Amino acid sequence: MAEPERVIGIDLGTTNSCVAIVMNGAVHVIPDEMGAKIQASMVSFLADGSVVVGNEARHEQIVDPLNTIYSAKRLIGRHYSSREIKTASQSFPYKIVKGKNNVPLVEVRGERYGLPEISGMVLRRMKDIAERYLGGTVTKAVVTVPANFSDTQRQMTKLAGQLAGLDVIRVINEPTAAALAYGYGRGLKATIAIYDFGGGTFDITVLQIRDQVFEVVSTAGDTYLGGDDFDTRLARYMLHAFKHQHGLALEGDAFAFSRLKHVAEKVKCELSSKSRAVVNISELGVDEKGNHLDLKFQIDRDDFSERCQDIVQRTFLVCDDALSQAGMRADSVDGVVLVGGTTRMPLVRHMVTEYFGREASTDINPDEVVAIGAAIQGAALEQDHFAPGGSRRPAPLLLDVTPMSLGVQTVSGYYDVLIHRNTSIPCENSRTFTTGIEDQTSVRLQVYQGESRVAAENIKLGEVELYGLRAAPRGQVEIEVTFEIDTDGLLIVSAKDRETGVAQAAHIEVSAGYTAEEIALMLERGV
Amino acid sequence: METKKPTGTLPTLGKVALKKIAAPAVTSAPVLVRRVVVAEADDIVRNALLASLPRDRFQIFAFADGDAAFEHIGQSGADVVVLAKELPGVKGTVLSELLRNGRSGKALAIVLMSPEYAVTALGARDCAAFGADEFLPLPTTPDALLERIDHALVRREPIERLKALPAQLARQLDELFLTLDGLSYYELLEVGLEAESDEIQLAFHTRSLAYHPDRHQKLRRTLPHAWEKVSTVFKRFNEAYQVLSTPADRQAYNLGLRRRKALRFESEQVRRGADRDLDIAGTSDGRDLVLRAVESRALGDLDGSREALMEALKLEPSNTRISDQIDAIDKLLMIVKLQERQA
Repeated sequence: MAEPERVIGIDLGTTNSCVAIVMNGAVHVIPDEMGAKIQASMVSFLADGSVVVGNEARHEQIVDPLNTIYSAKRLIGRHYSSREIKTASQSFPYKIVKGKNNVPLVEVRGERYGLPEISGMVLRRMKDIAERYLGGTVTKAVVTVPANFSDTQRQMTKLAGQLAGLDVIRVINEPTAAALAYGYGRGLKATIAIYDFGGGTFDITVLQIRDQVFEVVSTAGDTYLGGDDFDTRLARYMLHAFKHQHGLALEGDAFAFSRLKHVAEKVKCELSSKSRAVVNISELGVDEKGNHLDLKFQIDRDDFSERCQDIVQRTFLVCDDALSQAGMRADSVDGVVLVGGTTRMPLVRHMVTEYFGREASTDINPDEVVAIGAAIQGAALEQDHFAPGGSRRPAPLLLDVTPMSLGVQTVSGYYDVLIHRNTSIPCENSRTFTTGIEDQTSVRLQVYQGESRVAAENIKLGEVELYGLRAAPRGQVEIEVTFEIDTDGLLIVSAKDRETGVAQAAHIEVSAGYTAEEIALMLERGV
Repeated sequence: METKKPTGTLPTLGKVALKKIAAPAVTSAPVLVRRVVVAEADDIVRNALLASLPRDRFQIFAFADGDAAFEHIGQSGADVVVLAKELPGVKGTVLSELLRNGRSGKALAIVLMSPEYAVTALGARDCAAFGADEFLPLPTTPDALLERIDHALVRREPIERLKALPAQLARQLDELFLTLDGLSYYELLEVGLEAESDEIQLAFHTRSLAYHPDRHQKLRRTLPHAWEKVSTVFKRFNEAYQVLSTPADRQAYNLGLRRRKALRFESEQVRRGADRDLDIAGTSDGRDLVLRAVESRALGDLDGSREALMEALKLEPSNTRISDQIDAIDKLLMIVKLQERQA
């Protein structure tokens, strides 16, 4: 019998990544050669020209922050001029530069890399881990993204997979994957909330599960809210403490701040199990006489909690939004699932329990749950060999939604929504456009994603140009443009002349995207 | 094989009685050569069309008038017909309708041609009303002609015949695909007008398990055309579910269904109207209020709409376009009250 095609599920996280697979009906989270099931989503470029990825790169980050790329997921698929890139440029030690077509690039040791290339290196590492474990090649993968990723971010994630030599058969939303890991095979009939607080993003998703059907009712998120925010908060406090101890300000010292953030993360984790943390950081700064100055720092859990409460509070504003979209209240959900390392914090657990009025389920590892769900979905899409436990259990079906409204700019600069957020996918909507002047040969449409009434305040996906229109008096050519969102959550645009029914030539220019040539070049180079 | 019985008495047309007409035989897989019937009165145009059709793919039968074409199809059958709108004898449009409603009309691919952009010309939209699958404006090119024919053939090719899906599912899919535009959301999901949200969800889930494109990944790789049909049908189920599970949308949809027999939800028009109307306000708060007014009005809540407009007027007291809107609503309210009194 021919070897069945294997599909791995990869959770490509902001901070950490994880890979899993369904084999013989059971889900395996795949460890690396050191036995680690979680890899840091980091890539470090060493002085000798070699590149290390994963947990090995994490060590490099402490000694060489300028040449170690982390949190690439925060940057992928964004416009160089976006708020996110600006914030990152200020707080990240490595260099972010502007490429062609408003694409952000990272510059390391004189070389420039696209973010899909960096993420591709992480995916390549996950692929290698799986291949070593399985003892054979793996070509297909399901990769997860935050629910509120835009079309461009999804496209770029897919490209990253391609660069890593993977056929990404599906991009699924992290919370949906978590729901699958939580509810598959349990015969549930329930409404659950997935509270996903990761390293760099926060998502909340409300789902209804009826046996094998998983229907997402609503989703909402904040792509700039995560565990990193706690680390930064704590690192800043440490800087403050250092200044208090030595009278020396270290603001602007990237190296010192990077060390502090690293320590802050450790302190944060320590405070999850202990009520008090004490650290000694040697040689953090140098005074004017050339003396090395150390930082002695201690903090108790209550103090830390008090300083970070507002960060957790911000997640509930997002929850309120998702619940109201679903027409529900916090106390009407039947279960709460916690996803992401940040949900390990006692402060988060405590506040979540209070918000939902019930204890969250803790029986799955929040670091692995997303990869597990991705693996299950991968197996479901390759139904032929989806036979968990020997018996052919029915494969699960995900009914997901699009996280952001999609629309076009009107003449007056407003935003005309074609597909509303939280519409179940795949779906489509058509709109008719006409010519404004005599014998006009082309029409350009500006396509956006977002919720603002004013088009320019949303994320610009690109421009659709309908060209080669037939010559006719103004207003006589009616072009029906169909916007479809497919099962990957990706946009597909098609157009036809309403009068003749002939398909209309359309050209799509993606903003903050790569040209076909650039992509070809990247693919040739690989990662 | 087609087993449907002829229904009712059939009208006669000229010398040819429809009863005598045999069904256009349904082709059986694998089909390499398709029988195409071309009906066009103009010799030059007809010959040009014939020259465009590759002989290795088509067995061609050409006619200069409608009656002859009709008779031929009745006796010998066809896989695809290409008809001019105007023909001596029975007109192309009438012929299209007759063939479609004939015994094997379901499997027949029909392309209607018409001179481009003439005043009396047909549009793509009118063609569907005559039962045609595709519209071809003249003059045309060989590529365009073949594209139309192929589109029509794919559209009419029953998935059941491809044996790629369970027979019952394939039959249902073929039926749904061709009748999609004639079904209301309630008919699509097979639920009553008063169905509760739980029942609607269950109906949608059951259909999702059968029709969701994810359930047919193999089809996607092997028969992309068939997979497209599955996706088209699923997207319509999804549309129906979205509208029927959102109370405000469902209410508006019911209204359109009752009053205008609108089978699909026309939120687009409502929103487009909203966008136009929004421009009547000068401030952003004003626009929000006008939007609320437009939405309330679309849902039949005239009082709510008036209230929102009044608030907008408070923000922009000298905006006559807002006060005009209020006057218009007042008139509507008066009419409604009069009607209530009469009732």
